[in-house]
Amino acid sequence: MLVIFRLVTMMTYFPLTDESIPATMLGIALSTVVQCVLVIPVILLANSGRNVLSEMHSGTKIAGGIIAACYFLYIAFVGGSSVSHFVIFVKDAFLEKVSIAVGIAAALAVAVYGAYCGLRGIMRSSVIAVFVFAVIMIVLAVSSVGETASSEVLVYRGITLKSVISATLTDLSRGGELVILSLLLFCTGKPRSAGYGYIATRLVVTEGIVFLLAAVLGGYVNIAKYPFYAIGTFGNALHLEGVFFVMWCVFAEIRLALIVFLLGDILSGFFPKLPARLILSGVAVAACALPFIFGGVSPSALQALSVVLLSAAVPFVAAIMGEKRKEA
Amino acid sequence: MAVNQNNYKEVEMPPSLRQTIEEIRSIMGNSMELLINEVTVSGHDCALVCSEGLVSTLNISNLILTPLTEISLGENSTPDDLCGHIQNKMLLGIDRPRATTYGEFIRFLMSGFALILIDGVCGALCFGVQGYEKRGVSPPSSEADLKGAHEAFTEVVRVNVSLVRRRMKSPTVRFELMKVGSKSNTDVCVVYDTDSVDFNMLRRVKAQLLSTKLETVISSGYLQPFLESGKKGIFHTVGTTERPDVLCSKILEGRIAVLIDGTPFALIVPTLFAENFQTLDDYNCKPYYAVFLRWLRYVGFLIAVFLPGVYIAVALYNPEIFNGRLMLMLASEEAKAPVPLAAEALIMLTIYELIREGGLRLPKAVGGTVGIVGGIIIGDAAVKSGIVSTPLLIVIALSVTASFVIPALNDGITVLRFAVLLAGAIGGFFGISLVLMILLFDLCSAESFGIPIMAPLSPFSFRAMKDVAVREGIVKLQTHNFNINRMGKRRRKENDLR
Repeated sequence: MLVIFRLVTMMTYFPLTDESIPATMLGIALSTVVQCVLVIPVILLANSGRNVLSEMHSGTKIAGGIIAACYFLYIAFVGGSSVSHFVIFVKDAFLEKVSIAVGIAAALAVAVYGAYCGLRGIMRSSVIAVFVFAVIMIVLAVSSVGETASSEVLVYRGITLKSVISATLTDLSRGGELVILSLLLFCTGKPRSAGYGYIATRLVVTEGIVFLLAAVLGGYVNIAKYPFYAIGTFGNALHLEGVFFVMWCVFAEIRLALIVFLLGDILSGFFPKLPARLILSGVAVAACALPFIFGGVSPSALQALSVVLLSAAVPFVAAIMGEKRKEA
Repeated sequence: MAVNQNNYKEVEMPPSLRQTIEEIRSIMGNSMELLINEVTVSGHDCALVCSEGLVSTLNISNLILTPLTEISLGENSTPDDLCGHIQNKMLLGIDRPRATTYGEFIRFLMSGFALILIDGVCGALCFGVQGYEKRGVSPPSSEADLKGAHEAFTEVVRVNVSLVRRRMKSPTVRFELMKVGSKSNTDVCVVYDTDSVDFNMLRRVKAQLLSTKLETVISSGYLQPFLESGKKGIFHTVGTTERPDVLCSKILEGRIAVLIDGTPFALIVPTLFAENFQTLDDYNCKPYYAVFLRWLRYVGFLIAVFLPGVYIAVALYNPEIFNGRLMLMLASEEAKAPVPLAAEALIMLTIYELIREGGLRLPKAVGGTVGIVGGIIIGDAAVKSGIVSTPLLIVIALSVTASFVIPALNDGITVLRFAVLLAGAIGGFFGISLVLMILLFDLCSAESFGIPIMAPLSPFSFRAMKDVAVREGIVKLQTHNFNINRMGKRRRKENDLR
């Protein structure tokens, strides 16, 4: 599920990278190391069967409420960014006539239904989606064998400290799934292996995709509006753009459904008897999409700070509070 | 208070024969099938009560009347002596319960029992001498296969029990009978294998059956919703089968079957979505051919649901996906049609559904007319007149034919086909993707008594996938000893993050 979360980010945000491909791949690796450190407090908390929101709530109600509100706003912000960029992609790439408002409403309606089906439904859907995606990627890789230019990737070029740091921060700023991980990790039976397993999978998938994109598209990858979509049209034997588009929609809906579900759950902490929580969450996401559509807001630097705070600092504080309470 | 049809169920039967007969007539309202024959047995007044049409007159006269008339207990015998003699020293039938209340009496009466009342004895002695007309065991109507048995369940639950028992000669296979339906008192039999069943699930199934607030249970569809757990979805989470061999294989995997009197379809829980693509013939042929058939059905499902919608989406919004010659050919055909492409498709699908439904309901004598009207008149004439284009007709026909491969999913496929068509017409691939996601979310969240119906695909089980993605050899399948209850794992409450 979180891998899909990550894939949607890679698929939708353009350009994929401002830096050279070798610097980008190095930046991703470094970002992974940073994430391994950031996730430690979450694992410590999850090992004792606790969740960061419940821990903050049981600390002080005011602090817990503020933190929960921060999570709500951040996740709604990520959702708004996701849905707006996704619908803009749909309009650009496949369906010129679609109205952005109608597209957002339709996408969020399905996401609300997905959230209504529950976390298990979303998780199981993601297993099937990832499996189909893996098959498609293998088909694409095989069909692109004669078209690759691996020199774009393998030749040392453009690796400077500044470019690597920039690539690291870019990758980290698109790491909203860490925040999700901090909320969901306690659900798994083995938080440590689940947490590090996810980070390792993310590294492999991200590096693999960046390699494939650079090998097939070459220098075009830095200027392509939707690099991921572009490799579908370059497929040797098959017109895969339709298939890619459907996969994109599937992944985007899974991501949005997860976001709406989490928002609904946070709302239930504030207002346990509030009806139609999921619909209200969908409306919140739609509202957060407006700045991206009309204001041209770009998320990068603020997002990096939010990711660090919400996925590491807050769980760290929660873990300490929990230990202090235990001692008391 | 006088006993009548509204208050008789818990009333104890009195010892007086005259009073009992009057109260029975009052409860039954002098219904024409009620037969009461008064007779003297060994000096005691008795009555034989039965329901005309439900009992075998030959069995009554040979097994009950003749032996009764031969009883001679002596002048000092009491009514209790006579009752004890009949009950303990005479074998007038194999099934010999005793009714003590009017509720039990009426139920046995309407189940084809012959009941003996003795003046001075409370209650009635009951003897199973059923002789009602019933349909013989015939081949299945909906689950045909080539190499399997040609026996299907019938409407009589006891015959169905015998069909299962003939195949499962093990004491671990149990049958539990219960009554469901406040007016119909329908016999419902729960079947399971004690070696593999989950007893918690069994308790839940029995509790749900007993708690159904139905007046009548006419068919399996009446009980099916009561056994479906969790959120209501597009597809059933309770399986059905008409075949005793299929039922036997299911209960060996830890499932629970429910046989219902009056319907030849048994219910099976829990069920997986992948089972809709499996047939018994898969296990009667070589694995490579079985794998081919399985994948043919999977592809058939996708074609049945998505092909018309995808065709419309591509033709209307993304014709560049077709190759050049195909695109020109389709464009020239569609240019001749007077109605928009989406409307054409909707009209053709609607006509097909009308023909299909009409063919199902028509008497057999005129059933052939449907084929002539549908195929020749509507199909051929519609194309020749240019109302419908040939490529669209081919697409619709392909989709419809593909749906015949999985008859168990016909309901869902029919509706989804329309939904995908409309989504494709309105929103192209985007619309189809949204419908696909609704379907995926629905299937992945559905559970059948705690077992996710999308297992073993999600949650993934490599071992179980050997009978889903492929069909492993029978020898290896037997050693794996698949049990459905392993598909459901204990988990924390994912919906509660606190």
